[in-house]
Amino acid sequence: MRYCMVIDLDKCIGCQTCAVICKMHHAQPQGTWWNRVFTQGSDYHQSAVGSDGAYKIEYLPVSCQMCDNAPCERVCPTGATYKNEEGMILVDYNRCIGCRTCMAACPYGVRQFNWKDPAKEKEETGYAYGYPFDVKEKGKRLVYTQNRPAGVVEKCTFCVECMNEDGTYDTLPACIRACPGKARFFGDLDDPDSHVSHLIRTKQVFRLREDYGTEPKVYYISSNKSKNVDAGWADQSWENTTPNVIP
Amino acid sequence: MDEKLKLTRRKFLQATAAAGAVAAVGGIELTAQAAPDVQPQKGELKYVRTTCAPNCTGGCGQQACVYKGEIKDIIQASDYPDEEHNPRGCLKGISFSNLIYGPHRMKGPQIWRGEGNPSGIPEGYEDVSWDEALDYTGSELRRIIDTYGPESVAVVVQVAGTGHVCKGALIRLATLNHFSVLGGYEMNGDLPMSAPITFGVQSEELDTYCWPDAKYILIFGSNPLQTRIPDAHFLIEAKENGSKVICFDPCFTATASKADEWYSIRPSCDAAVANGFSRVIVEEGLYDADFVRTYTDLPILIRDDTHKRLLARDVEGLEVPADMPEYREAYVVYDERAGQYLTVDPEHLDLPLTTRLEGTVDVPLKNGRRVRCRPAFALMREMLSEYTPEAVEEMSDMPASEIERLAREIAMVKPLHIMYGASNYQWYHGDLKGRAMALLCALTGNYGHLGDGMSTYAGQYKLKYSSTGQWWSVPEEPDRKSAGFSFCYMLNGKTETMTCPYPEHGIKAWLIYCCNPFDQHNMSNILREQVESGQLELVVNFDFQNTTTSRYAHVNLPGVSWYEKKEMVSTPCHPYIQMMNPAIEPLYDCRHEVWIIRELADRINPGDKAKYYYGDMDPDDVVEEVIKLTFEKGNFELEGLTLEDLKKGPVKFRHANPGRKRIAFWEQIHEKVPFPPQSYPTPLAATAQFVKSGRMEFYKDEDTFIRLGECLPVHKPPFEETEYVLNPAARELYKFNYVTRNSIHRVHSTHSNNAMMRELQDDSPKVYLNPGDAAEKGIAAGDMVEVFNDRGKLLAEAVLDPGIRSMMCIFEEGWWSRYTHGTSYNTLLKMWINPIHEIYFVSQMWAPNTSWNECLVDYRKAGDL
Amino acid sequence: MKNLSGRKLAALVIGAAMCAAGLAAWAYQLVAGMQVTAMRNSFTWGLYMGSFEFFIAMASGGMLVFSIAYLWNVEQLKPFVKIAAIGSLASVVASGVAIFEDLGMPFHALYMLLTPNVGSPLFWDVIILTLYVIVCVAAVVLSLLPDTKKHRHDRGYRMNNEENCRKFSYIALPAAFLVNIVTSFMFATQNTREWWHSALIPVNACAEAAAVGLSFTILLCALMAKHDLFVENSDGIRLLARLAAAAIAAYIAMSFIEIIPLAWSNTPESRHLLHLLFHTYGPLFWLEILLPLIAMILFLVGGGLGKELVAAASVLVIIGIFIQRMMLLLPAFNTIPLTLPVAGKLWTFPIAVGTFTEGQDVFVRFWNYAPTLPEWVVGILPPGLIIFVMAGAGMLFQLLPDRE
Repeated sequence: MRYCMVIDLDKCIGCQTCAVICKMHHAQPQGTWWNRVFTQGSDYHQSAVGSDGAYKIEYLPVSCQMCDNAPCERVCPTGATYKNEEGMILVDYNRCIGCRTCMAACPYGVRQFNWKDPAKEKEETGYAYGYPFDVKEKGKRLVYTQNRPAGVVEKCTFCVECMNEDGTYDTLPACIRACPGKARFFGDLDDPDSHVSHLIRTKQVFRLREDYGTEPKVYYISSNKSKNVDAGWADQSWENTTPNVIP
Repeated sequence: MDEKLKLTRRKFLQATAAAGAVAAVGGIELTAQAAPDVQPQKGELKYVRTTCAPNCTGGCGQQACVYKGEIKDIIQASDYPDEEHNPRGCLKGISFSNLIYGPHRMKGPQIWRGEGNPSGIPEGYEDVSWDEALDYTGSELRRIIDTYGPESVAVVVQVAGTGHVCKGALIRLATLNHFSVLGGYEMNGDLPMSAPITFGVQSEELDTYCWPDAKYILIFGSNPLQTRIPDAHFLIEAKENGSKVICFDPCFTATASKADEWYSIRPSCDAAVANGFSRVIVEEGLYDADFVRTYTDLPILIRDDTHKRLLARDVEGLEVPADMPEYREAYVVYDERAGQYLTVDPEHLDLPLTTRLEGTVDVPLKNGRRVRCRPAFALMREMLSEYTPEAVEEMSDMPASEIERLAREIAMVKPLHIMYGASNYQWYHGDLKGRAMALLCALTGNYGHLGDGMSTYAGQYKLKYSSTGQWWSVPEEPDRKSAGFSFCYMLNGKTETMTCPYPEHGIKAWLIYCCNPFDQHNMSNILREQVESGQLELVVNFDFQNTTTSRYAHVNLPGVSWYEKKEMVSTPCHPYIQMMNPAIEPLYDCRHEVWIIRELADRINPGDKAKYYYGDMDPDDVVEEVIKLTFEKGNFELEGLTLEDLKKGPVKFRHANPGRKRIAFWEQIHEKVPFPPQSYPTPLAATAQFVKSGRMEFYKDEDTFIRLGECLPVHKPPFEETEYVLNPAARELYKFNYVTRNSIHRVHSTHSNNAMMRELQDDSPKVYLNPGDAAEKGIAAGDMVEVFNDRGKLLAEAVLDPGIRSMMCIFEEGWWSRYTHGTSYNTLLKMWINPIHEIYFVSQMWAPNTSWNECLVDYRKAGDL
Repeated sequence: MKNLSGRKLAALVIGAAMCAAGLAAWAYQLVAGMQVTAMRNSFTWGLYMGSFEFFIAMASGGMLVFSIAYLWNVEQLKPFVKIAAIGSLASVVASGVAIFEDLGMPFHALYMLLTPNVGSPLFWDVIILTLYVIVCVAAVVLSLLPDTKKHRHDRGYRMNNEENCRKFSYIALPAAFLVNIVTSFMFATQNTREWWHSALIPVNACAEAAAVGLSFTILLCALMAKHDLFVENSDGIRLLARLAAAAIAAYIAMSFIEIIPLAWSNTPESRHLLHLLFHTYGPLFWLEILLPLIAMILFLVGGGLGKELVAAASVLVIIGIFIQRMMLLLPAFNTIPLTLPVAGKLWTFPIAVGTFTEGQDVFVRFWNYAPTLPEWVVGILPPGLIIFVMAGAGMLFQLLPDRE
């Protein structure tokens, strides 16, 4: 069994609900986002791209791509980052030494470091949120805890807290359930009869930066595929984006 | 056995590993691993279903996950019986706990004890006990009632549907004490005046799950992809169903990006475009003549001399129907087949299909004279003849080459659904635009069928039910009732043409419930001045967030959120009535609003609490009692519903037509019931007077319409009767149209302080500018920009968005002043009161509207702050 | 103990003070979290990782001097072996400290041994680093043994020890290079970072290591030797200087060998990298090239020009290579791998920084990394350690012969 996610960009309305539910549900501290949604090609979310009347606004939600050939897993010195039997890349917070090599290795920018103690931060601000129980995968590896200690790396877990011991899900991952556009799908890539397999077979799908060889298990449906994300590299000019400089 | 053994061994390994780690670092233990393994059980989680009900009026069912008395997680309940509504919710709703627990949560009652009057600063407020706060408020209100009269106390609750019982409790207080109730609908500018003018209704719209039933969708100045996040998927599904979506908007919006075609028309020129389509449809004979004859006033004869409709009572040989109600009037048509004039019975939609639509007739009157008349249709055709494609392009920038093609498609493809939004009608001439679109639907016969008609999704005040058990009224004591008043007059002062009664001393006290007018309302600076100068002597604020209003209030009475109480919610967006349920106890010293209001009631009039508010009954039980009463005495829509059903989950209002989905104007189109259907809770007589003919009215003959040349839905350009009259120099000084649109990150000013929303916006309010315009002013992306006119100014970060039409300046509204460096985006606006909106005054039905978008500004790069 | 001079004592005190300040700041960092540094999610390695890389390179110098001296029996170099070996040991320990400073959860470090991921370059780096510490300790012991009271006058022992040293050099020489090669694999294996993903990086790392390692040894000699020794043994110094110069030449050559194909490919990504290299970080780039280049010239023409000049040249190399190590990070992290062509332009998907400051961006495409004050203070622990160790060793042992 290999879990995968399919995101239909034609249906995505860029509302960022998936990003927020993920942040809420997994008690992500300030400035930390396991899941992000932005407007392709734009410096500001939901502002148009293009010129002379030919505009577009298309979105791209990005969370952990759960790569089959995951660079983060391969560089982790302690095996804190590992692939479970369901093909999910998880982080054991008890083993993570906080070296951040995985963050350098991950091409998708999804890995997030705990720069300070989230529990303390929430105490200061008064906010209270997040699934409150620890999750030890197969009773062993601490793959979720409400307040990760300062100094470890975290990321999307495909809502491992929703997964049963036998690898099945009774309730789907939060972003799938919460998507107001009904644009996100989750299921078994190895099961040819699963809805996700069907979508991957029948729709125009692409994966992010396949040239890195990461073999992601997040697929994007886009009828505009040929026009934007997957276009060739020729004739592209580097856009001098305004650096977001923080002193 | 084996499994157990393995487990034990694993635990042992873990323990030794942990011990090793601890030993290695000299006993410092940082992680949970070495802690004893006492895992809490999933069973300790409690799930509570409630309804998210801010002023987006989306009314989304949410499920709170509660652990040890704290909300840990919120996700859509996804329990609507109509599957397509699941999941309903958005990023704000699911992060609502940030408002519940965040630093801006009100913690207890406060009284202003600072020097002078409140002035927007938090210092000067004293935390007091409930008794002290209520005694103070009660005695102040008593003083103001005794000094200035009770109508000088104003009450605003914003949207009743977001909490029928609690908001009803405050209206009940106003009823008991003869306070003035400010209509929230027009205060927000959301009342689409074209609806009462044309149909005699407050508004009418499709439930959003009917969008996929339309085959052709025109969107004028509406951006549901950002403003109706829970419903946006219906638009995508409509496209998947084969609908064509055409978007008309000056700027390229998120909605435009999903449309099949987008046209950047000039601001406030939608009526020109709609009339351009109508002209083609009329000229090419593509209109549905039977529909026009049966349901509209277009066959009615209009006198050439007075420009008024010809009255049956004046015509020789015609009589007024005997049992005609007072609010109706009988007019005249000419039936070509019978060759005679007919009285139009306003109580029946049953004219023959051979009434004359064109030409002129000389009608013999009872006084012996003849008067030349023409059918309204002929006048309309004449009016439309000016809207040739070339003329429309000249007026609106809508490409002439596309008008005929689109018009033919509009005429042919049914059902046609027109969505018109706040950007379309929150203008001085917003009503004309809505009327022009209504005409387009009428010409093509697009009313009364699944998926057709026209809808606004701004505001959403419509009550979907009525009940003689409405607890805001006190029918047993008919002399205890509230007065209607308008926020527009409260700020603007009297006008010559007003029909609304004006309190003798103006408004001296204001009870504000779940509303943040000191940021959010047009001319908020004038409002602030009214407090600072002492003109407003008492502002009482019922809220659970420390908004800007809480810093201008004399008393803050903290209520609770929709996760801390029971309440009943409904919305025009979807057909369900739902409950709020307490997931947690009220936080800090906050109280259920029913409790606060009845305690206050008792302090104004001792004994009112026991008599009208169930005495000391638990407020949540009061809610249940009120719901029970409402249901028991409910009208058709509530028939058969019980509190027990509601407690189990969302229940659906009944509707008249067959099928799963309610169809607007079903009774009118299929059962020939005259217009208007009743707009709850106003009595039919009050709104039926708007359409005396009992038909859809496209020719209006009240004097003001005639005087202003607006009998028919003509196009009038913006600013000519507003900005340029006020200051002729504005033509040169202020060339940019300033529009304050909604953001996906706020519901108006709710969630302005939501920490996660602030992160998503890089914590900075933004003004969206056309890159070419900005370049001319030397403004680069990210620069701080000052937007200004004679009335005020705003500071925000520049976004250069090529989709923004040149000469426009768009701000995403809802930021509290503290985030815009103390400036307020509503100080730039002006209250433009259109005399058309003053012909009648029926609060929230026909009343002056705030026209947010009728505003001109200039902008420049701000100096370093 | 008669060598106890004021200078050494001062160095000892300064080194100790640096260590104390560094440790205190490190403790602060552990308590407050790494938010006290200027690193964030889009820029995950900074001063500490740069220091780690730098001290690893520096640590190779001692083993190079040691093995060259014994493998080719270069007598002029033998007087420098002791100081070079201790310098290596101090450097490799400093690099180990630097990498520990960089760990968010150093208390979990034991899992590297308990549950290692043998595929991880970092795991192998830790292994090779540990082995290298052992190699350095062995080298120090081997070079110091003849000085002990017991062996000082035992000629036979000294001969035997010389032979042991020669044999040991077969380990020390490859170790010096291997430790740099394996370390650079942490970067070279990352195929999602164009700036790092190059087979030349490990090779260049060896050249850089030789350049900075030898320069460091020269600097140590210059600082700790009496003037007459420096003059008398100028042949040895000159040899070291020439070797260092050769390494610098190789380093500079390879730097451009990296850049030329990059520029040649002229892809949007390469253009972006070159923009960062020559504009955003242009001054740093030219410093990392020019400082060693100047040093190289000084080493070549001025081997005998005197202690101060040679010391200055060494300092230039040290600064240059330190900048080079930082430049391994700066352009790399500001070339965010999730970059996509959209509407004819390249577009970078912003990264959440991981902290929130009022009024500041949370999602960034560029991070203007500059170490914070606490980070600098933590960062002086490794060099403080080297100063402390060298001063202490200088006080305990006679690191350089008084007179041959």
